[in-house]
Amino acid sequence: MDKLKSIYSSAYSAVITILTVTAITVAAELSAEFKNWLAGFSGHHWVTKSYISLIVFALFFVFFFSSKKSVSDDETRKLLAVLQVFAVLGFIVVLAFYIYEFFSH
Amino acid sequence: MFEILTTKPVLIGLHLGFAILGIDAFLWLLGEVVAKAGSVRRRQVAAGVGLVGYALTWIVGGYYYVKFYGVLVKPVIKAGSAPWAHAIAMESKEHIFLFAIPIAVTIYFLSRLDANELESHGLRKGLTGLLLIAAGLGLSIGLMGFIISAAARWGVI
Repeated sequence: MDKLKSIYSSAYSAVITILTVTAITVAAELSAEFKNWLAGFSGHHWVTKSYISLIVFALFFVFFFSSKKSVSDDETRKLLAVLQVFAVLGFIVVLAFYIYEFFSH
Repeated sequence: MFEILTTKPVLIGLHLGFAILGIDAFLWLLGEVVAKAGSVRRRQVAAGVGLVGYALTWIVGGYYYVKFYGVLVKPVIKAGSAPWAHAIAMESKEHIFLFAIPIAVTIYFLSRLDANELESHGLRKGLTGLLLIAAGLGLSIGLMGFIISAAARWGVI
């Protein structure tokens, strides 16, 4: 497996997974219907979110890995920086959201 | 055997143990990368142990969370002196953890590069940052877990 392309594909998929998990988490707290809909798939909304995170990560990894012929050092380096930023931002957004939710109700 | 493994204290112990194993492995790999150590095999072992540790803590913790936490622990915390421990710490913990596996997989792929390749591709800084985030996520989630456990204890006192 092409080392650089696997790093690039994994980092890109990780960014998309973090975005997806953060969006679904906030949306499910704002909409009880959506949360129940998620729970309907596995019996628990968090289990469904876990499956979604794995599926999104795997699908996008395969997509990027198969669609890119080659990746440059620069592209990979930038993507690792983007992943770090999104991981930290995702952490802050989720934590801040639940702090806000607690104090606003 | 399965009956013992799925009892509440054992599940909590395994959840914590696998998390510590994962955090330690990523810190070990961080040391390898910072020291520009030459062994790719050692890097891959450290990254593999970190990834497996995080995956196992996810599975064991998830089983405990779905099977016991919501029914037995959550009501105690919500009725106790620190209901925020569930509303903020538990809710954040369970969702932020979902970031950890994609990051750990990316670290595993990066661990296949030796010190010279990391340097020539300019990826050493990126791997160092990701390792700090992976270990930091684990430690902050561990702190939230401590808060949740303490809140459950206060809830019944």
